[in-house]
Amino acid sequence: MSASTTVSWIVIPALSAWFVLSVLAQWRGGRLVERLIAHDRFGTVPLLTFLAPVPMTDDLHVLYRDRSADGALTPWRELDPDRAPALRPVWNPGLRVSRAMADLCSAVIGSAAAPPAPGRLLLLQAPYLLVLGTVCANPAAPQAQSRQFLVARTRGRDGEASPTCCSYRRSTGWRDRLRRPRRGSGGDQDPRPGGRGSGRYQWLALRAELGAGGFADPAILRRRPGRPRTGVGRVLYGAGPATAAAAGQTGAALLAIAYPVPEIRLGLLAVVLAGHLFLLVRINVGLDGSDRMLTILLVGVVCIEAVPTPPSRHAALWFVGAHGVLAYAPAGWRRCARRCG
Amino acid sequence: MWLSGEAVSGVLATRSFGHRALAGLAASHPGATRAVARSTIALEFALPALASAGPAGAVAMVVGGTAFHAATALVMGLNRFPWVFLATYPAILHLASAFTW
Repeated sequence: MSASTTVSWIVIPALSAWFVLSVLAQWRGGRLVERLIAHDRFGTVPLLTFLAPVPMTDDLHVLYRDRSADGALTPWRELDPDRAPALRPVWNPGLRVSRAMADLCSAVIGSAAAPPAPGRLLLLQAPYLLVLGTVCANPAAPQAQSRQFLVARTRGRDGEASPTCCSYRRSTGWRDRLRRPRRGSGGDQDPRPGGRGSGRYQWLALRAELGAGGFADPAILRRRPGRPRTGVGRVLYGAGPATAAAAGQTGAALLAIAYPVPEIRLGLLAVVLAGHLFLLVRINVGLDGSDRMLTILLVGVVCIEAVPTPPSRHAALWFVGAHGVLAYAPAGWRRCARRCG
Repeated sequence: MWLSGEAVSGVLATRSFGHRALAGLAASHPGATRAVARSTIALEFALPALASAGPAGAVAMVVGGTAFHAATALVMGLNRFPWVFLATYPAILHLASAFTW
């Protein structure tokens, strides 16, 4: 039996089992499937919902302001206010950031609304820290001493804004900012800073404590207390390796198209797949069905190149095609089932 | 929510995934919005059925799927989906060749 045939006997059952798992995952079939999905860091199991069953019909806005030592407040500023660039059907790089922030803010809102429980302090939860880190990464005025943020919700383009949760307890003035996102002062008159209202505010110190290497550094979430960050942690969460992976992925994909030589194509496609998986682990928020389907597609293509036997090629094509067909019906079912339920 | 068309009008009204002009139309024409929502659901059920109906059905599925993803990219800005899903369609056409009734 040749090596290719032996590998075929591994590839075909593996792809078949993977597809069965994907089918079960669409209907959350069983505890084992739930566990596998929970630990699926590579996004290998596609959960293709297409906004079903409950779509996001609200916009979440993150606003922040700074306070100087003398108590003066800056106007509220919105984080990433321009969410719909004109060319977004073609070029929409902000979509991932926007989606990630929406997911994180939803998680923060859910945590804030939940009853307090020991060991589940909102201020130490990953979504809160990631939102905080993003807010604190924005530039501040030289005299600014502390920063405050809130998450507001609007329904409809001209709908009234309502606060959800934030690093504050009580505040005013931010609604104006959402009504007039380009103009308008949106200035907040904090009632007697340090006086009546101050005890009810949670002001957060600026980047010295909350930025890179500080309390809100996302990397801290992967670091055990008292231990230095390992080499693996540096590779996973450093900005340089992520940029190199994205550049390598793009370069390898372009080379595979420009020089379709079978001898090097497998290596180039493997680089594309490896870069994709690395970035999935690295990003891990704001992912959607297209990221997961891309994993399926790249695995299928690499299998076709790596195991050039007719049965393996057919199996890989079936694997990709069947996932493509599977994508639609579960979403339609969810839209109807929600109504029935 | 989807069958009544509320979901479509709600999504169109958002700043993140919505479309200002279409949101206005959806609000003023609830019947048409409901028809769009139900057509989307019908399309999602029809696409797998077409893919398993032989090569001609698969071509129809590819056309329908392309229209679906082009519409979501144009209206909602979901521009990664067409690239990835259309890339699976050659494999779907291959798969459909096995279903010749």
